[in-house]
Amino acid sequence: MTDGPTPERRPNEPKKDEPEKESAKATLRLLARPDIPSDLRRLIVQDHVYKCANIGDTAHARDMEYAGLRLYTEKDARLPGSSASFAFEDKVEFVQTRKSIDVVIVTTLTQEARAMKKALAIDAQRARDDVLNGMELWQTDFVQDNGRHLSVMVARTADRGPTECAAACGAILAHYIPGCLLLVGIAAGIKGLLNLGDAVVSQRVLDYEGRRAASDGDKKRPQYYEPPKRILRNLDKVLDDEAKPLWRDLLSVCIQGLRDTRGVELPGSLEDNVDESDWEDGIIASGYALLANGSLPSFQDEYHDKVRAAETEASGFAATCREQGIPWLVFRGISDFGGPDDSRTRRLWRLRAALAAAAAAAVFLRLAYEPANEEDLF
Amino acid sequence: MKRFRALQFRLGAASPNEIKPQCIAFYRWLVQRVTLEDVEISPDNPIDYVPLSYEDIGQNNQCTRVHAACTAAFAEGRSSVDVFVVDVEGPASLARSHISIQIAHAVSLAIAEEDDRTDKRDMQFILIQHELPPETESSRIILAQHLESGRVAIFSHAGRSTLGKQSPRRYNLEEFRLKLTIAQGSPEALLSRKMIRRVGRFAMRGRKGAIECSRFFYDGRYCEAEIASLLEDEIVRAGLPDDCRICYWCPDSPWLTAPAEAVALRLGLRATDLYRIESPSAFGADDYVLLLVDCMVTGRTFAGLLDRLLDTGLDSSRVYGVTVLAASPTDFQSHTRRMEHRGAIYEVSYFMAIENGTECDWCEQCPGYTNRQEEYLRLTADEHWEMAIAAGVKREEDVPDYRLGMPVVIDYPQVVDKNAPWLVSKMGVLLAEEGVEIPGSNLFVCPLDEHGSSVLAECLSLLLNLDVVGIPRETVDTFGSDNEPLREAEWRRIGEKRPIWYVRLGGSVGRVGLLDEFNASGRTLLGLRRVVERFGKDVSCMLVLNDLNPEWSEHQDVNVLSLYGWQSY
Repeated sequence: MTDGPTPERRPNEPKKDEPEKESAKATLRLLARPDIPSDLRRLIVQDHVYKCANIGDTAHARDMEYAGLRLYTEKDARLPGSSASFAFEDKVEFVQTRKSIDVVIVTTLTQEARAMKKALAIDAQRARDDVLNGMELWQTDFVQDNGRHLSVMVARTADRGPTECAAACGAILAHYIPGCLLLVGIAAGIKGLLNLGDAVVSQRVLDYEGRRAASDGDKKRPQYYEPPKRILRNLDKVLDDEAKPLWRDLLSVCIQGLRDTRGVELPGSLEDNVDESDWEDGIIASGYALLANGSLPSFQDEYHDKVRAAETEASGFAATCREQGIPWLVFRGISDFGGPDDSRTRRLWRLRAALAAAAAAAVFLRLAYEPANEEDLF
Repeated sequence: MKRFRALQFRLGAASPNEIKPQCIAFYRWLVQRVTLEDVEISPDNPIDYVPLSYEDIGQNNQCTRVHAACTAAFAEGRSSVDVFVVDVEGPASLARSHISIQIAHAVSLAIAEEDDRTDKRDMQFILIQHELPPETESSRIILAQHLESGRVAIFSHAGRSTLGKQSPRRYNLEEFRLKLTIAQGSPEALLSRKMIRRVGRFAMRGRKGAIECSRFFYDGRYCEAEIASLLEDEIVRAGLPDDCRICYWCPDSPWLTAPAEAVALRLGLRATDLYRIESPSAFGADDYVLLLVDCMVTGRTFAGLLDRLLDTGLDSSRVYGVTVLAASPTDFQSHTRRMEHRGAIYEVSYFMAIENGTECDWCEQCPGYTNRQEEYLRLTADEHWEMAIAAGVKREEDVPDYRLGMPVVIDYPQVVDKNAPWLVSKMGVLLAEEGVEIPGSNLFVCPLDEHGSSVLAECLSLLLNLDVVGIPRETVDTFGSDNEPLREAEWRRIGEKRPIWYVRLGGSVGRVGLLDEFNASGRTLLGLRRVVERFGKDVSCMLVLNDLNPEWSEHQDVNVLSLYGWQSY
């Protein structure tokens, strides 16, 4: 045709297929169009789910898939007698029956949940919004600095350990469709690198339990979990020095608010300590053992020099999120150094440490977190 | 021996024209297939040719020439003719329902009169029209009783008919269409069947100079011979002088270069590619230019080229405009599009009318324009779904006996009808890129008389020179079943009957490809494969437009090639 601009001619190259991600974007755009009849939309959404399943980036694929399914289920009743695959029908039903939440924050201890609620300004006396197998959940509307409203849910799982945390996350995912999962709580830190009341956010999670029991001794087989790139890019925005004053301010406000609460145990001279507190990203080691033998510093030699802290839930949490394609991060406040005599320190500092992690998570949500939405996905 | 007589209405024709022998052969073949008897053409006035001008078509009343011509022909032939063929030919855009109604009424009247006679004869009528009228349309209602009894049969140009279940035994669709194409024989007919219309969002300069979106891009790489023939005819018909210079413009359409140069060479004219020269050399006052472009949508490019020519001193009255493709023609009858430029009127001749394609409600969602020069190997999601949206969905037809129909499927026959040349050209590239050996005998097999695969088959023959043999659905289904005794019984049955497809497939050499419009359960492809293998032949590939069951395909030891697919079954 002659009525357009003249394109450059290119040499013949082997022809390729459209990348699956581009195909999924195209089907998503089609699902957003209001002029397409519902029976055709049903075929398009089947195609969309299929294309998403073939995308390598699981977190992005999951966002794309749910966005398409939501666009479909919002507008169309299901057609009876479909011959579509059971897997597809399950996905449609899943999206139709689950509630979407922008962010779910998983905590384990009572103090961790209390700290997180404080950082999100959820009234400590407010009744829970939901209970799943004994797991308590509180929901709130959180406003980011850019004015965007996020639906945020705090969950207290109660059970410690990676397997228990994975099971709790599974229960949450059976009832909700979260845009992102955060694990917030306390950990042991490496003395000299971190102080009590500092916070660490997961650059990666190291599951150090893996090993091969050989005749000549155990061989370590550690496993690393890395949060999706998209969430790490969000995190980069708050790791600079500009965000830290905000974190310290929020931490001070939370400490002051809790100090006046009856029955709350907090270490003394906290305000002074806040000014010296810091947060950084690093590798969080995770396993079944609550470290109390002083071995934590050796993790830097044995596994990775970026190891900063150790705890008992993150590996199960990260494994579940990775499996489900859900963006995730772990925030840990330092309550002790994993030494043999740290029990009292841990007990004394755990609320303060949980507040440090909770405030870091809140600052991350306020300034940096960008939920995937349809516009981004187009 | 049955005798037939034909009445041909030519839409948009101004004067009577010669009926070509291949057209008579087509009528003979069709009458023979419908009556299943030997036939001969009536020796007295075998063919009536009735041109219907643009004005004739516009007259919407019962007393037009259509009704009168039918009545006269039927009355004249009633004593000696057994079968009347009434063929409505010409551009589909000129087809009007009132023409069908008048024909139906005349036919109905003739049958009623005949039935009232004491010496009545069992006359049959075969009506050939662009589209099969819906059951609710007046012409169909008028003829309902006779369609039911078989005294009247209507055929569409695509080969669909009112014969229903009887038709597969009498003829197959690709055979019908090929014979009709040959009968029509004109380069115009072949041009419309071979011109690729690619779907996408193509940037083009709009009327006011801004970039606009066009939904279609045309590619005539398979119709260079037809374009050359039409161009030569046009030059001769217009009586252009011997020193006429062909100035052509086709930077996006390399397929126009060869026809322009070839015609110039054949007629001893000079040809100039305006894209390749800075400015055309000055023209004298007596010079004559044929300005040839590939496509005319807004007319802006044509106007720009006129400016270039006129600025060299050429007289506007000595420019003759021709475009291969034209949107919004102003005169269907004379195949021209009028345009005014710098105070002069140009009647630009065109060879094929196309859709405008510039109306798009979703430009704001558009992720960017489609690259005209590059194309993905298979269909993109946008391309596939744009075609599907245009075609719509339907309940599945031609459902094999072994499974339930799918609740809704894309109307693949419609998709194929509108896009066959493009889809087939992509299939050709896919076969080449995937390194699949084109079967040595150039033979593919497909289910017989399923509209989508039949249209694909016809186009494969026209564009890629592949031969396609249709296998009856009941045979495919039987061979697709797990019942071996049943398969053996079917093999014996067809061996005794030796239908045409059996002879053609049995006599082929080398490997054979399988073709279907879409794959759902895999049973049709399996059935086709077993039939081919029963002849002791290997299968080279399975080629489908859409694979709705990639999981099945992945487990086959033969390449399953599809232009699109997702797991739906």
